[in-house]
This record gives sequence, C-alpha cells and structure tokens, in this order.
Amino acid sequence: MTFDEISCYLGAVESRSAEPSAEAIKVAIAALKRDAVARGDQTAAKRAWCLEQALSAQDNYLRAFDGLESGHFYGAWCDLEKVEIDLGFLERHDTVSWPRFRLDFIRTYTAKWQSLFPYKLFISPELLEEKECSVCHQPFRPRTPCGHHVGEIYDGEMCCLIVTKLEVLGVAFVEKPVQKYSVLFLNDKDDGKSRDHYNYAVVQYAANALRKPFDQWDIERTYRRQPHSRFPTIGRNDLCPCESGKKYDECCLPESGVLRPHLEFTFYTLPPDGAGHEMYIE
Amino acid sequence: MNPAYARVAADQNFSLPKTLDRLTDETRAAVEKAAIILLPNEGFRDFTEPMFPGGTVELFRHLREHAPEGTSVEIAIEDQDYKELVLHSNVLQLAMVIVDLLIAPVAAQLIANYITARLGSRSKDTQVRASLIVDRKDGTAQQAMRISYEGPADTFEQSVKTAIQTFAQPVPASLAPAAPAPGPEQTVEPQKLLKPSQATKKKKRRK
Repeated sequence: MTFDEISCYLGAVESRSAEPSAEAIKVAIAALKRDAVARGDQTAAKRAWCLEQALSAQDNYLRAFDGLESGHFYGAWCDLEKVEIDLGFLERHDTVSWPRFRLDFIRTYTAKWQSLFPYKLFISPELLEEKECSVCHQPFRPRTPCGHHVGEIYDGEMCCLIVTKLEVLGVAFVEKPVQKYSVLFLNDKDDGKSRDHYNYAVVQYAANALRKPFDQWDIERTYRRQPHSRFPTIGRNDLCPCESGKKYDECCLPESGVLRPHLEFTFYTLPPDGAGHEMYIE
Repeated sequence: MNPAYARVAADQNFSLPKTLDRLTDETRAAVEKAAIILLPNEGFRDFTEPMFPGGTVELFRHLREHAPEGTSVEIAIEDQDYKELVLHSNVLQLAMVIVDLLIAPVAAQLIANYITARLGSRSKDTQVRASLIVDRKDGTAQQAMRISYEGPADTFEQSVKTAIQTFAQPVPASLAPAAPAPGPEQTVEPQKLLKPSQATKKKKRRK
C-alpha cells in the first residue's frame, strides 16, 4: 500500500469496510516506515509515524465506543485515555490532516465522553526516577545532552525517556491525574476482589441513545427542581437533598421541588427506539 | 489558589548553601556566577536527597538555548546526581528558579514559552506551580522576592511579570523588611506584600 492509499483508508473511518483490517494497515505502515528508514528518508519515516498515530487514535476511539455500547465502561475509559495520549503525541507534528481523518471530532468527543464518567478521585504515584534516551540509550542528564529531543521523531519513532531506576516515595489521591487509568475501585468485603461500584447511568444513557461512533451530540449542565415525592424519607428538619447544607424546610421544601443538577442531551441523529427521554439518576 | 508573591530579605547565599555543598568547585563557581539558576527540591516528605520536578532537563535546555547571549543559565546539581521527582497529578510543577532582577522579565517569558510548548493543547486545563526568587543587587543593599505562582498556564507570564514590576519599584519605607543579621543560615520570615489593588481597597475602606 502507498501513503495515499493509507490516507484514503484513514479518511474513510466513518464508513470503513471490514477489509482491509486495521491490523493489515498497521503492517502496511510499518513496511513503509522500514523502507523509508532504509533509504534514510526521515521525512517519509515521520509521515509513516504520523499515520500510525492517527490510526491508533481512530482505533482506540472506535474500541472505546464499542466498550460504551457493551457496558465495559472502565475499559472504554482506558481506551479514551489512549486516544488522548495518541493525539497529544501527534499534535506537535501534524494537525493538518485532523479534519480529514476525523481526529478533531475524536478529540472533542473523547473529552465529552470523559466528562460523563463518574470517576472523581484517582491514585497518583510519587516516583523518584532516573532516565535514559529511548533513541541512543544515553543517561538523561542536564549538562551532557545526547542530541535527541523528547517528542521528536527519529527513524520513524518518537523519542521518549525510559525509566532506568525507580523509587516509589508515596501515593497521593488527586482529582486531576496525568494518567487517567488509575481509577479507585473498592474491594469486595467477602472475596477481597476489586469490584466496580460506580454508577454509569449517565454515560450508559448517552451510549444507548447513539447509533454510530460519529453521531453528534451535545450536553448542557443546568439545575432543575425535582418533585418532593422523590425524597419521601427526608424529614423537614433533615438536611436538604439539594446538598446546600441548610435544613430542608428552610431551603427547597417551600419551593416547587428540590433543586438538583440536570443534564440535558441533544442528539443530532434520532436515537433508537427504547432510548429513554427522561430519567432520574440516584 | 491565586497567584501570590511575598517579599523576603536575604543575604547573598539565601537559599543556596546546602545545595552548593554538594557541587564540585567548578560547578559551584559556574552556579554562583549564573544569572538564572535552577534549584533542586530538598525536602520532599522525609526525603533529603536533591531532586527536580519531572521535565527540569527540558526546561534547563530551553532556557540555555533561548536566553539572550551572555546570560548564563545553570542548574545546581552534578550530572550524575540528577534525579526527577515525578508526580502524576495534572499540575505542571517547575523547578525553583533564582534569577537576577535585570533578566527576570525575560526569564518569565522564556519559562512561559516552555510551558506552552510542553503542554500544547493541555494548556487550557493544566495548572502550573512555579517559584521564582528574583534577586536584586543595587550596590547598597540586596533583596530578594519569592514569587510563588499556582494557577492556569496561560496567565503565568503576565502574573509573574506584574510581580517582578512591583519588586522593581523602590520599596516604601513602611514595607521594607528589617535587615537580616549576618550569617549564612539566617532565615527571615516572609513578609506579605499587598498587591497594589488590595492596597487601594484598604485605603478606600479607611475613608
């Protein structure tokens, strides 16, 4: 396959047929890269790397959508994180082809999907590291630069830092992690195994209402009053279920309902039958 | 946290001694002469070894590459002792920088450029945490101001430059810190300096 043929394949991400498979395309890109490196053509090798990254971002996004549809939410979350990483690496080298390969859409909707997940707290390791250059394997030191720049492409591979020595100093809990994989899960009391205790109702609602990965949707976050009948166990002297910290009878009880966060979705393609129009999430 | 800055009095080696003791004479001489110095963190939890925030080598190289000709940039560590403390929260932590007042605005701009290049499109949702010690030697007295910044990446340059400008103004007698007693281990409590806008508000309230 040629560069142009691969670009056509990536450009048809929305209506791609089963053949050739993404795996076959990966092999074809690797062959192009090998040839370019053998010829000493750094421009072509870099172009192959860019196509590889674009394919990886598309693949991970499509896999995330499958995960969302099939209810494998944590897996989908990790795939969305991989999309973010792929695009983060790619953006300093090529953004011109993003509209054609739908990567601008993928970036926008990756962030939208991530915003629907219930994860709020993550583990953040504190590590003391010594590193080396992934290209020449020289120790990464301030005054003796090896000449390679982190993030640049050499022979069709991105220069990274490889950790050669590592000491864990601690672990912190953070709300905004660099690596989003590190979600906290509870251990089951009985068997001690990790279990997924999160409520995925919002993300599930959106996934059920979409037909295809590239269907467009928007979300608006507002507040709306919910009927008092939804809170039958709350006494007038209890704390208000709107979480204001005030007593119920001094806050929302005299009002038409309890003020609660409200999400309003707009789907630009008619959702399939069975997708709910309105629902409350506990 | 809003960007904040505080003025501290300091002697010539106000925060360097421990770090400099670990250096060879050659490196130490280079560090002492430099206009921009990157300092290690020496007090993370119970850990006393010097360590730098992740990405410090890139910052160091960026400063060396882009600093005006004749401006010496140094890092207060020997190559073989260089280690990085990598925290995986989405905050870009920069190494503490000591910079001469004259070059401070340029240094702020170079650091801001580095932040933009490093974060790319993440600039919008990443916080930056940085500390600059701006050193002023005017022949009659020496003072330093620590500028601590924690805030959005895109307001770093303007906030830090504003703080530097404030420091470059003559110090009002009422705010001038007492001179430190001689001795390299003398520490002086930071004296909080009100931002000009806050000072104006206070005056208005008194009326």
